[in-house]
Amino acid sequence: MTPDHLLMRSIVTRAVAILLVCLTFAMFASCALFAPQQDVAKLCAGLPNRNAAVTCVQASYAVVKATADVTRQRHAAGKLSADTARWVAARLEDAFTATEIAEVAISAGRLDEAEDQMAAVIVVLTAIEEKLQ
Amino acid sequence: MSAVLEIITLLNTLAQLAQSQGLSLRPLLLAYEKAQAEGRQLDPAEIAVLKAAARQSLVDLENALPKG
Repeated sequence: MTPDHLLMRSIVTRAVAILLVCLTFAMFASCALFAPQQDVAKLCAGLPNRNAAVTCVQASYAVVKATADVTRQRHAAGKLSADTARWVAARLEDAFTATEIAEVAISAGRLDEAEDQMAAVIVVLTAIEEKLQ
Repeated sequence: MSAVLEIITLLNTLAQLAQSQGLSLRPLLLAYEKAQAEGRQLDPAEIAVLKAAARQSLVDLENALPKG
């Protein structure tokens, strides 16, 4: 594959990504409300600099907190079994631990390691999302 | 495309949480943009407040579940 082909493939991939993001947010009533989350998610995907890494880790802790609160409330309302709530709590501990490791990596300037850890957090959040749906 | 799927998945997760919990990451983004504009580095110590809040919510969840 020539450099031109690789460049074109990269451009097409980015275009598809932008389209998918737009379609995703078009499903919600207020796109403006979710635009910051979209931007933060982009920061987490690339970790282009130390500030992005710090913001990404902060966002991850905020999401862990929100998910824990939602799980506790749903369980209290009888909408979530104790077993499922325990499973979510265990996964959230995994996400918290991975975020902590990313935090240490950022302090040491190891952004690649932080990105790997945040990718692990995304996998955990995905599993939780599927369980809570 | 796996990176794209991860982004979309995280967006969905964040959006659902935002809807159900009133979660807003806007202050974090504004702080990031301000630091970038000023050429200033965010202090990793600023993470501590959110980390403590997340830990407390995890403890609250654990305490709310029946033992055993």
